[in-house]
Order: sequence, then structure tokens, then C-alpha cells
Amino acid sequence: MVHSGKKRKTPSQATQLSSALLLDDETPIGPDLNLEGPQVNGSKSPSEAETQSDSDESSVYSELEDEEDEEDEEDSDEEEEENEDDGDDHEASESDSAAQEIAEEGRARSKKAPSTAQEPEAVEALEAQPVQDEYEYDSSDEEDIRNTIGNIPVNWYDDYDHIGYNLDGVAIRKPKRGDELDHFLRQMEDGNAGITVRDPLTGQDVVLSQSQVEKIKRLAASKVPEPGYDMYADAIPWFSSQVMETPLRDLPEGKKSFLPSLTEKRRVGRMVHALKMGWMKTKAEREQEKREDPTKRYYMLWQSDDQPEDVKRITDLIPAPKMKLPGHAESYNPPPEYLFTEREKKTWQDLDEEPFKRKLPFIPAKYESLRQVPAYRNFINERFERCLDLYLAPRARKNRLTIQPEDLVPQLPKPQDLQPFPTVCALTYKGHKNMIRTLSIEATGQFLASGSDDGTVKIWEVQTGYCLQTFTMPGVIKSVMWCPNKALSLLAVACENMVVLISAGVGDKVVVDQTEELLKEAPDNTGYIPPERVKNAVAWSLPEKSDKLPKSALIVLKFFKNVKQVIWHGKGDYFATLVQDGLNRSVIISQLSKWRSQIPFSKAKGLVQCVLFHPIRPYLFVATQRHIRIYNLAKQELSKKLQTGAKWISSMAIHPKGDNLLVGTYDKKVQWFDLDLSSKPYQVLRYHATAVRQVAYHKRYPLFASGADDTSIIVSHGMVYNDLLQNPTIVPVKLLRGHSKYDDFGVMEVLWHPTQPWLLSGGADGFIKLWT
Amino acid sequence: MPQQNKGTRETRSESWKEERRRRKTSHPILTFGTGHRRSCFRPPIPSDSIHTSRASTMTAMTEDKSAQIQVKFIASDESLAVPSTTFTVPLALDASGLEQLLKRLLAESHDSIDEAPPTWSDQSFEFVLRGDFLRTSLAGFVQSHEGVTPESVLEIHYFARNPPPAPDQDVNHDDWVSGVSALDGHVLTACYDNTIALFYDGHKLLTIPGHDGPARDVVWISLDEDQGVFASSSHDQTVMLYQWNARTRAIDVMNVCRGHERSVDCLAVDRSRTLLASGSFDTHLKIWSAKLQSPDENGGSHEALTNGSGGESEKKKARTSHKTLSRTPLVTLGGHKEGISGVAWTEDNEVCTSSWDHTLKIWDFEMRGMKTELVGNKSFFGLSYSPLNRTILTCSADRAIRLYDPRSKDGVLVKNQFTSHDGWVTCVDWCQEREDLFISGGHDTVVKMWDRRSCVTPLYDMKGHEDRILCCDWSEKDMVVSGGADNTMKIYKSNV
Repeated sequence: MVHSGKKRKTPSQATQLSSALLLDDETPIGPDLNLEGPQVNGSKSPSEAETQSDSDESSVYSELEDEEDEEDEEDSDEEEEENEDDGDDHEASESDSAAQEIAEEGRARSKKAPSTAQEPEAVEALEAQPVQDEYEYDSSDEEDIRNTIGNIPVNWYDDYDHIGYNLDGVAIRKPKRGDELDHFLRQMEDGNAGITVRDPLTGQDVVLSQSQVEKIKRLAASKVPEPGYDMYADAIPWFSSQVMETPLRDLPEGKKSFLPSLTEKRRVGRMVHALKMGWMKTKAEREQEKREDPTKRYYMLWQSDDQPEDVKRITDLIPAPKMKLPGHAESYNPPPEYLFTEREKKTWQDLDEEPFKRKLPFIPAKYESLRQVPAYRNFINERFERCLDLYLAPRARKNRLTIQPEDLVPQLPKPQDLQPFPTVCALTYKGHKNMIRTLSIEATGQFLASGSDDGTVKIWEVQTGYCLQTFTMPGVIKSVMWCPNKALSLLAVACENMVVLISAGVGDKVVVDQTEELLKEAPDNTGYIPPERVKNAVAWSLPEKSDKLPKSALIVLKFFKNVKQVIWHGKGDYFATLVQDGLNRSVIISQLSKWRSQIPFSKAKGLVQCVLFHPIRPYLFVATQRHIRIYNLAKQELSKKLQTGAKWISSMAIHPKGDNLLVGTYDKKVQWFDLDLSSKPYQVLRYHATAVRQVAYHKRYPLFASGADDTSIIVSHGMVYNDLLQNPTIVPVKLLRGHSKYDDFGVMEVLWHPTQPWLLSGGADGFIKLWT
Repeated sequence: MPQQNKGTRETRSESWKEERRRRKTSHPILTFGTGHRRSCFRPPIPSDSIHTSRASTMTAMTEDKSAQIQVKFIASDESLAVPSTTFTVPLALDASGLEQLLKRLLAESHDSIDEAPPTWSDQSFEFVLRGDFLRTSLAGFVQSHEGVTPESVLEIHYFARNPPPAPDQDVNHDDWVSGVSALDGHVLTACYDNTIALFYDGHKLLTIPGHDGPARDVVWISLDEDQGVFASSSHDQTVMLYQWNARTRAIDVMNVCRGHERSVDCLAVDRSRTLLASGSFDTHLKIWSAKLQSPDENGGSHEALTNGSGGESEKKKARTSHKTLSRTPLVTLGGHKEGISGVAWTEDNEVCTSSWDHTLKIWDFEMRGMKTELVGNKSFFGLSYSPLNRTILTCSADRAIRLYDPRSKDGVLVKNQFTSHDGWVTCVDWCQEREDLFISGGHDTVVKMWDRRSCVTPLYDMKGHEDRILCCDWSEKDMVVSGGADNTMKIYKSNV
């Protein structure tokens, strides 16, 4: 019921409004007003005007009624039910609505009207109805049931001769109206014509009462319609905090009012919990906090002005520079020294081509008053530029990477921790008179064979450097290699176009004798006819006197061209020879026990530089100038091709475990291939200044070495791990220098001792050095 | 002992070079010259710088306080003891100055007791400070040693200096001399031209072309007035036992010991002179009987060797040597992974071997097995055992000589490290008479005589070889024999 107090005003306001509208539209009210003025004077036909006014009227009324309805609907249904017997409410709602009252009165009039009505038909129609108790329908809530068309525009019935239907469903006839002349005469005759209105629902003319006219007049004058209403009366606080002696309402208090609210209880519970948990703070606490924390008490109002702005997409933003503030020169009335002289003006104008050279972008000018200053022509341009600058060129601080080159180098162990490796020259084997091209060490490491350009093969005792044997050959020795078969003391020597197998004559006597006995005669090769291609390429024979070979030569293989390299397979039965310029016949594999040779390749893939047997598996490595091809000898197919990227390969060496290959090139590089990893080098070592002649792996220690033309030998630590995931560690540990240069050649051969961490090197100066 | 292996390699080598320079000037060097023999000399020191009486020492102290230090003399030999009083001596004093001081002290202390002419009067002394010989002045010592302040009392150990060895003989060979052995003035050499030669007093008595390959080692087994017995080893994988008739100067190859599969590089005879140990590159140690078997005892199975009639030419003997008795080893001991480079008898039934596989092994002959193993970090090239101090000297593929104590139970196997050579050390040999002395020869062509109390400075450098030294021997106390790649065998006379 609290609402009703507030709502009381709304209908009255609505009434004011609607009555205002009514006045505007129809202006029929007021004795001095000529209500029908327009109809008389206007060009419209009176019927038209009538209908017009009718429709207007109806709309006003319907509006009023709507308001009323809405108000009623807002009250709860229960109260509606109560309405019957609750007079208080009814009265209140009824008395509030001035417009309703008017309507009521209007209706009452119209009900009474039959008595006063001039038109007998209308009276008849009303008289036809039985006179009823006025209280039967004396309810503001009920709609006017004289016409039951409901809330529809009345003009829909314009074309009909009835105006609606009464409660019994009988059409209500439109009251007969006279023509314009009748109307005029009536007006002339009737004194009430000025205050007569037509009820659109019934079509009856209703004469307004004096009080109604008074109300309308007051409304038109924007006054409170009720004449006795005191607008400024004291408000009576009906619903105040003070308990009245007698209750305003005689209702007993509801049960609700005694029970504590459950929702409130829950809400309070939630708040208590939040307070406990510290999510919520009491006002006192908040004040306390504010007092204690000055940042919460005071803050910079324009803080963001000089602080760097947070821009999400730009980290570490530099705020754009502020625009320069105008100085004296920009003033509309600058001091005279700021004004340009003629000369200055001319130079300013001369710099039209290069405006950036001007000291000022404008010519200072003097005006009498600010009002005379013209608009700045470049204003839009400059603003636009500035905005573009701010928007498109945000200034972010760029983090330049400051990486020291040293930091990029991987952490390698110190060379001192990687001992043992050779560091000093312990021995020099002197005896050769020309450059030493090739070295080979016996499996136990006691003897060393060396081949030189002076045509001799020498066998040395490694420990002392004593030359035990010297074999004089008929030409330059290109390659020497001990047979790895432990049952033989055999040396394969490549000299000119021959490969001579020489009994070394050192080591176990029994083995030496055995070797000589075994290889004294050719094996029984009856029934074997060598292919023509092989036959033309190589011929096996026992040494003849004309060959000028040393006495201990056992077998001679004569090739069609000069032999560059001879290399034994690990088991010591097969050996591969590399024939210089042999094209597709450059690689020939021979079998010692059967005196047979074969040419594995039918096509020449390039200029073969060196060949190598895999230490464990049946693979043959063939290095041409740029590539290394790995052939599977068992399957007779190409297994892999390594891309060295080098221009000219000089030598290669294979790790004793067989998974890593070392390649030396004439373009100063040493390349380490991980055969499991890729066909590209795992690491390229560019530590030599000149062409690398030879590379070598140690059999036991994680060491490898490379010798170059500038007489330097570099020893490196190259640890290969059993763990496949771990890459080999390569650390250069020592640079050895000791050989002297001869004819632009330095170190021709490097070789590791099989058991000790000792390095042997053969130089172009004819010396062999042992580094320990 | 200041160990050299601290710091980086570069600084080490630098300090080593410096050390060498200092040493070159500071210790006596003996050379074989043409008739010119240089012995050790000390620059004379003005006598007024030495103050014998304590009073005068005190006055000297007042003269220059900063140049003085307190010293205490401690004798290694009881007979040369002096009162253990602390003296203050000038820092400028060097070894000869100290010597003069000591002699006067000795004269004072022994004056009343000894009537006989004192043995020390013409003796020179060595002074050892903190394990090193005093080769510079005391000031130099204080400077080079940390922790020595002029305030501290220096303990100076002193003992009679060995007289310097004098170059004695120089014998040329046809090829490298790889093994030497001396006994009673008789020197045997093994030569790379497959021969064994016997010398006495510089004269060649015999050349024995017995081997088919270069001879590697030779060792005397016994020698008396009538006959000498010796053994030689060679690249031809044999050890030969010879009997030499001293009167008729006839030589017999008595036995050929076969069994090795590679060159036999080292030989050693036990103290009872009945067992011969040989080490070979085939990694085996073999022990043979050193007793000569006469052909008669052996029955008819083997043809008798020629009985050494002097009329037969040596060549013929060599030719008939294949008829000599073959001998099989008593024991073969295998366990080394690489060739054996040195062998020595340590006890009656114990042999110690050094090998290229970085180990020293001590074998028990009776148990037929290995007893102890000492692991080094370089290949060993030789060893020598001294029965006097029961330690083993080894030389290996570096510049250092290492002293091992096989009985030592604590972790440190290397008791001492002697580094003065400039190149591989190929041979070491203890003095058989004096427990502190040994010699070593190396690729730097110098034979060095050492006192084991001094790690850095050797006693004497014996120069003369022109190429690498391959072998040395000091089994005779007055003969330091060495052979080398310059085809010579040289003998220094040492008066120990």
C-alpha cells in the first residue's frame, strides 16, 4: 500500500496532459471560446469536423481509461477481489482520478440526460432500458457497458448506422442528427450549446455541468483542476516510524513479520564468511587502510601524463616526445627582434626547395589584435602528421642482443684434462734421402715401415729409431702397408705400376718363415679364367730378376697404370689398390690367398682419391674429388654417398668403431662425419692454414691428428660415446711443429702408434718423427 | 719435494727451461775431451767472508743484518758430526763457503780426539737443504724457496761429496750399442750389428757374432779367474749363454734359450747367479736356468758344442752355434699386455718387470704368478732395483725418472720424481755400493749421476756421447758404463 501514495499523482498528471491535449485539439471549452469556430469558418464540411472531433474525443477518453486500467492492474489480484467489500481502497482510487470523475459525471449526466435531452429518439432509447439501481454499476472498475464494442476506434462504425452493441447484443442506433441547418439553429437556440459535448460511445449529446466546465477551464489555465485543492498543504506522514496509537490498518500482523527472513539470514551468513576470510572489509577497516597507506589516500591525478603508458602490444614503450610549446616567435604580437628582416625573409623563401633547412617553419608575423590572426593554414596537416606519428610509429625500446662471440662457443674441456696426447718430439728417424710419402706401423707397435721418394722402404724399430731393414725399389714408393694378418709378416708396397708383397723379415721368426714358405708359390688356379677386363688390368707373378726388386719380395702385381694406394682389408686376405687415372678400373680388389683380382666398379664416378675398408663391416669407402661413396661389398650396392662440400679430398680415416669418418681435404679442412647421423659433415675443422695431407684416428685413445703442408700437425681429442644420443666431443689439443718444409710440402703422413698415445709423422724433409 | 707437474704445461716447461739454465751453470759437467778432462770446480771464495769462530760470526752479523741466516749442520755420517749449534752465516755464502766453514768446525771439534790425519781434510761436501743440493748461494736458495725467511733456522744436511767421475774409456763399435754389463773390469757390450763384444781396460778381447738379429742386452752371470759366463739377448728371439775361457780367450756358446716370440729386450740374473730372467716384446717373462750345462751331461741327444779351442775362428763358431743346446724356460709368466722393457730380480724368488703397458709387475717365481702390480701413466722403458734401499727406479717415455717403493702401503707409489733430462730417459741403474746414488742416460746424450736426496739437480752430468744413450751400467762401483746410438761405449771412472 505504500505504492498508492506515490501513484496518486500520476493519473492527475495524465489528466492534465490529456485535458491539455483536449483543449489544443478541440478547444471547445470556455464561454468566450468559439468552440465550433473552425467548423463555421473552415472549408471542411461540418460532418467531417464532427467525426474528427469525435475520434479525438474518443482517443482522449480511451487514454484516460487506459491509465485507469493500468493503475488497477498494478494492484494485486487479491485486492481486486477485496474491492467489493473494501470501501477504503475503492474510494481512494476513485477520488484520486479527476478525469475519471469527469467521465463518471459525464456518464451520470448522460444517464440523466434522457430527461433533459432534446432529441426524443435518444430519450427513447434510454427509456427503453429499465431503470436500474444506480449502484449496480456504480463502479469505476467496470467499463461502460452501455456499448460493448470494447476498446476499438469508434470511427470504424462511421459507415454504419449503429454505433455499437449494448449488453444484450442489440445494435445501438446512431441518434438521428439533423442537418447543418438544424445544428446551427440548435446552437442558436440552445443556451447550453457551448457546453454540450457528444459522448462518442453512445452518440448522445451531453451538457457539461458547471463544475465540469470549471475544471476544464482550470486545466486550460494550467491550474490544479480541483478548485479547493491546496497544493502546498502539509504532508501527513501516514507511514512514519512512530507507532500510532491506533493502527492505520486494522489488519493483524502477518506471520512473515514475526519470522526472521531466510534470505537475509543467508546473506548475512555469506557476509560473515567473507569477513572471516578477509574478502570483505568493514568500513572501519577500509578507512584504517586508507589512513595507513598513503598511496590510497593521495594519488596523482595526472599521473599517467608523465609516466610511461602501458601499451599491450609494445613492451618497454618510449612515450612520444611532447610537442614543443610555442615560443615568442609564434606569438601574434612578437617582440620586434623575432620578426624577420627583409633578408631573413628572402633566405626563408629561397629555401622553398629544402624546407627542412629553415630555422623556423613559418614567418613570424605581427597583428594588431588576436582577432586579426588568420587561421593557421597547416594546422590540419600538422595535427594529422602528429597523430600519424603517434599511431603508426610507436616508440618501443628494442633489446639488442649483446652476445659475446665467446659465449656461443660450446664449453669444451681443457686440453690439460684430456691427456695423454703427444706433445713433444721424442725421436727422429733419420735415414731417408727424400720425402716420405707413406708410413705403416706393425700391429704390435714395435716396427714401423716407411716408404720414400728415394725408392726405399725402411723398417724401423719404433722405440730406438734403429733402421732394421732397407728395401730398395725401382721407383717412388707411393704406399706401404703391413698386412694385418698376424700369421704373416708381409708388407704391401705400391711402387710405380707394381704392388710388391715383401716379407718384412722382422717380428716373430716363425711367422717370417711361415710367410716366406706360404707365398713362395702361386696357388693352384687351374680352371679359373680371369675376365678379360681384369686380365688387362692386373697380372700376378713371382718376382723376376728383371724387376730389380729386393730379395725378400714374394709376389709382384703389375697393373696397367701407376698405383697410388694399396690398402689391406682388416683380415689381411684382401687388399684394394687404387690405380692412378684408371677411370673405371681405378679400384681393384685382390685376394692374396687365391692370387685373384676383381674390378668392382664398371663406371667411373670421378677421379678416385683414396679407398678405405670399414674396420668391421663389409663396406668400401671410395673418395672421389668431392664425394665419398660407401659401397656394401656383400650386397654389391651403393650404401651411402657423403657430401663433403670440399673441392678436393686428400685423405680419409675411419674410426676404429666404424661409425665416424675423418676426411682431410686440400682446401684446408678436416671434416668429421658421423655416418649414422647424416651425409653432411658433423663438424668441419678449419684449423689448418694449408692443404691437409693426411688424417688419422688412434685405435685406442680418443685422439685424431691431421698433418698439413705447412709442417703443422694438429692433434685433437675426439671422443666417441657409446651412447648414440651423445655427439662426439672434438677438442683440438696440440699443435705440433718440427718438420721443415721442402718444395712446399710439409707433413705428408701422420700415423698413430697402435697402443701408445704416440704419433708418427713423415715429412717431406725425409725425416720421421715420433711425438709423445 | 717441489713437484714440477703443477701449473700448466707452458709454465712448467718455462720453469723447467729456467731450471735447466740454472742447473747448467751450477753443477759440474764432465766431458770426454781430447785429453782435456774437466772436473768439478768451485769458484774460490775470499776467505774473509767466512767467519769460523762464533765471536767473529756475531760481528759479521752486526755488519749486515739483512744478509744473514741461521743454519744448523746435521751430518749424515756420524764420523763427520759437528756440534748441533745454530750458526748465523751471511746469506752470500755458497756451498764452497759452507764447506770451508764446516771444515773449520770439524777441525775444532775433532782436534783433541783425533791424532790421525782427518779423512775430511781433502774431502769436499755436499749440502742438502730441503731435499735439494745447494748449488747457488744461500741467498739464492732463500729466494727460490717459499716459506724460508731469513729468520728461520735452516737445517743443512751434509755428507762427503762423491768425487766426480772421470772419463776413462771410449770404445767405438760398428753399430749402436744397446746393452752393457761390467764385472771385475770386464765390460760386455751388445751391439746392433748382431755381435757381443768383450772389453777389458779399453781393449777388445772378443767379438761374438752369435745372434741373427741385433743384440739387445747382455749380462754377466759369473766371472772368475778361469772362466766367465754371460748371457745375451737379441732381436732373433733368443737368449744365448756363453762360456768364456779367460786363459785361452776362447768363447763357447753353451746354450741357446728359445721360446720367446719377439725380440728379447732385457735380461737379469738373480743374486745366486743361477737363474736368468728375460723379458721380451711378446709380453712374456721367461725364467731360465743360468747354470751351464756341459755337453757331456746332456747325453747324445744334442750334439756337443765345440769346446772352445782358440784356433777356431769366431765365425766358424757362430756358424756352428745352431748345434748348441737349446734350452727351454723354467717358467713363463704372462700377464703384461705389451712388451716387457725391463726386468730385475728384487728378492731371491721375485722378479720385477716394467712394460710398455704402463705397469710394473712383481712376479713370484715360486708361486709362478704375479704378486703386485704398480700402475704408472707412461710406458716404462727400464727399471733398476737396489737391494740396499729396496726401491725401484724406472724410466719411461718422458723426461722423469720415478722412484717406486713396492713395499709401500700408502697410496703414493711414486716416492720421488727426478727430472733433469731433456728427452726420454732410456736407462737407469742404481749404484751397487751406495744406496743413494744412481745413474741415468737418456736421449739428451747425457749420463747423469744422481743422489736420490736431490730431485731436481743431479750430482754430475757426464757428457760425451754424441747421440742418444741406449744403455748404462753401474754394477761395478768404479765404472759407469754407457752405450749409445753414436756407436760408442764410454766408461767413466767413479770413486764411490
